[in-house]
Amino acid sequence: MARAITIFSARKILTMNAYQPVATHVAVSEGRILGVGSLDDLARWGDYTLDTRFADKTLLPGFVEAHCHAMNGSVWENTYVGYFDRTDPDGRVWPGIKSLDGVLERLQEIERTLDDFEQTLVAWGFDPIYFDDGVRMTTSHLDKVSLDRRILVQHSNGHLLNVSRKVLELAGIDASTDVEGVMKDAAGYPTGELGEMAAQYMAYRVTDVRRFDGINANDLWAFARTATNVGVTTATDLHARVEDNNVNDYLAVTRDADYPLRLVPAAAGLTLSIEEGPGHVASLKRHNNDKLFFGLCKIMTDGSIQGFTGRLKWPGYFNGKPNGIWNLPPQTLTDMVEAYHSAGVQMHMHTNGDEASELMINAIENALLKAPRSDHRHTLTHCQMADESQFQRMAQLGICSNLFTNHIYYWGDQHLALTMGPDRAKRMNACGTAKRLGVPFTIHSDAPVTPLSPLFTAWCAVNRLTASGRVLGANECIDVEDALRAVTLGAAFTLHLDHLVGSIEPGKYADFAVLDEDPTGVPVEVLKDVAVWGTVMGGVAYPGAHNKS
Amino acid sequence: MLMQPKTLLPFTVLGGFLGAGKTTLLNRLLTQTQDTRFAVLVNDFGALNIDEGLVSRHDGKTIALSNGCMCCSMADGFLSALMTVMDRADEFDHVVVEASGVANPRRIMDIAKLDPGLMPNGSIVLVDCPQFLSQLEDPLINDAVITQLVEADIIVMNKLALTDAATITRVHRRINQLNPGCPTVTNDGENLLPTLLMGADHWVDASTAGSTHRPASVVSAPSHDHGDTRFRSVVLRQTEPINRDDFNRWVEALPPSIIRGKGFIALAESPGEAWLWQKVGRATVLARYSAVEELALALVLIGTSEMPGYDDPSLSGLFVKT
Ligand SMILES: [Zn+2]
Repeated sequence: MARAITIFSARKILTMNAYQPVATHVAVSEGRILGVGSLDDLARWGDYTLDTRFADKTLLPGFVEAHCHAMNGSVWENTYVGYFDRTDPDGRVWPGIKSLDGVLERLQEIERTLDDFEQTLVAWGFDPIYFDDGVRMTTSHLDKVSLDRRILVQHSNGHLLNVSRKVLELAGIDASTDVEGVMKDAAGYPTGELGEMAAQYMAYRVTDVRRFDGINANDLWAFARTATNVGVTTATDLHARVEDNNVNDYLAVTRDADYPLRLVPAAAGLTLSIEEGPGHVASLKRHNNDKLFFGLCKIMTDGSIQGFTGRLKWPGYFNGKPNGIWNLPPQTLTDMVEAYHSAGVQMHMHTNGDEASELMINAIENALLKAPRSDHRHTLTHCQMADESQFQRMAQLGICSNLFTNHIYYWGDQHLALTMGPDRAKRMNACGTAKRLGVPFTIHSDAPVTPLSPLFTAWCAVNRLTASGRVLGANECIDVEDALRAVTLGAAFTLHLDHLVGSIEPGKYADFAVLDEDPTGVPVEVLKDVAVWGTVMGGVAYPGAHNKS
Repeated sequence: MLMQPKTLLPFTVLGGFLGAGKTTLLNRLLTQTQDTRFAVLVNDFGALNIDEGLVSRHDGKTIALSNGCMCCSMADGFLSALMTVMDRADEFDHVVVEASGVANPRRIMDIAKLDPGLMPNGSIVLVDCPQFLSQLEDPLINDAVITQLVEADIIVMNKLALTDAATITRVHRRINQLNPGCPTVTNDGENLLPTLLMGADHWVDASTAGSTHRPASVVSAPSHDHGDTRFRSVVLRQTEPINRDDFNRWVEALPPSIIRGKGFIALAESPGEAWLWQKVGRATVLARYSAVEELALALVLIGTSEMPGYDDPSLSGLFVKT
């Protein structure tokens, strides 16, 4: 029986495959790429259906996001009050809010839609550090939204929370409360801003919000919609709970023929014992299907740089803050690396500060000495401060890097002024050095920490502009071609999936990002503004939510 | 909504760097206090090292929960487990958190300061005596080790048998520099009395029953106290209300050899009311409790063998000794 062949025509196809970087047609059969080239070439495969719906579009390999979280879908169950524009799973753009009054107005709008008096109003993405007047939110501000409702406003940094008067009252937090993280005003009364675990625990405890639940199938569907909207066809859930209920939900969605995303859940190493974790993660591979790829493990080492919890080498934080924290004792982290490595498991290691990167490079070197293994592709993810000597060692040891270029835009100004100072800020997320020294690299959003959008992430790597418009480390800028490779084949390589996705090449899955324009044909300053129509995954077209009628 | 439990659950944090012996000590405490229903939360990645046999010998009444690390962004698992415990607070007598090797115990203890269902019962920090001095020199970890010591309410010098006397002296000196005056006990074997570390859990019951005249009855594990002479306890019964300033002065003057104290007193300013007084290490609290009739007014003090005895006026001056 002749195979069914669909040939897609496009204005331009950027394949990321070296022997044929550009083409106009791609033939698809059984969800995979049969060939790429001209229509004449491809017609020789036999009867085909010509699909011309993308004739005026540009096709790229479906984008691969190697560091994001499935929570990127579920955050939209709550109200977005961030400073920057953000698109929800349904394609609606929520404009960034530039003042505290604006935030209160949005909360008032939501308040008017709530009938249930007992429901807690939860907002996320709040970012007062960008407000010109430096004003902080207090309970008096939230009084204008409601005097009686429980309101939680989560800050975008994930470390702070503003709560309403009602929440303080129920939580028993008042002037007499003497606990770190409860902000007080000049008169000694709590302002409603809560930092630290204990204060936030109390706030959540007196609401009906279960912030601490794991991922479920609904979340995974919403996550997939956010991916399709920006051209992503393969995405990690890079700190996944892998208990039976979670595994079942990953299985359920990926077995659904209509699910438009390939999922790479990286098991959260912190939730597993060092004795049983490696075997468990390795054995999860038995569940894998064409849209589900278990087998990766995420190792958390330090905290975040903007939260001053990243582990830094000398000279430490520019503003003199003490060094950050480890999530586990360094020796335990080293032991974990050896255990997972020896079990044949691949690891992505969260390392923000350069001391954390060094610990992991040392740990991998140690593991390799004890259990030599080629092509391990262990990856330092974030790897924001790695210096040239560290990239050299990574190159020698076969370690990949996944750099957090979105940070340059969102926190670059803070890094310059507070965390790194004028020198080291320039080498943050050093794509140029990684490329020059031959360290395989990709770039990421860490969504929902920053928005999921590989074209934006690529734009950051190319332009290195901060939110205030300053260029941070021009010498680390890379070309558009390199940046696009990083968000496709580069990411696939770091996930050990480059034989399946990441380029438009015979045998790979027919996964494409469908763009309205050629990203290599626009000025680099507007790379992030190239519109995404949607995706093709496994040969099936999935329009973005904004293109559905 | 928040349910207000009838009694406050004591909340104890066991801290100390990796290798300090937290799990061993915790298992021993569970062995020695089998009539107490513990909720044990382990703030460390997956490894749940609590002896399952111990948990079952507690008649299914003690549960052990393993959770992700609670520092940084990884707190979610721990906090949801704690919320689960608090939703079933009636089923437990005591919450113990075994902190991760890098955790700051105070940040965990702050939870008990805020949650009205919990009562802070002390951050107990274990020191790995053979390793301690080199830990202080290791730039990767010395900040975490120092923070743990500085934030401790009670310090336990552990693994003494694995090092020499000169080292122990130096370790002790460094501990004193880092946290001057913090009650410090040594643990070199089987006989570290649970009460010393975990508090006199049954004190409230015992005093309600009016059985304050027999000190042994207020120590939670008397049957396991093999005539140990290294620890002492004193029960002081109050005969008439005490002036608040006098009481505060008396508390201030208690020597560091007294590690814990707990009980009820009446103050001259409001003789009809009982106040709950508690001391964990240097930290003390005095809180209004209830009307006096329901309670026997007495305090129990627990300390090392160096603590003053019944006859010492510095202890009994305000009280009539029992
Ligand atoms: Zn992340």
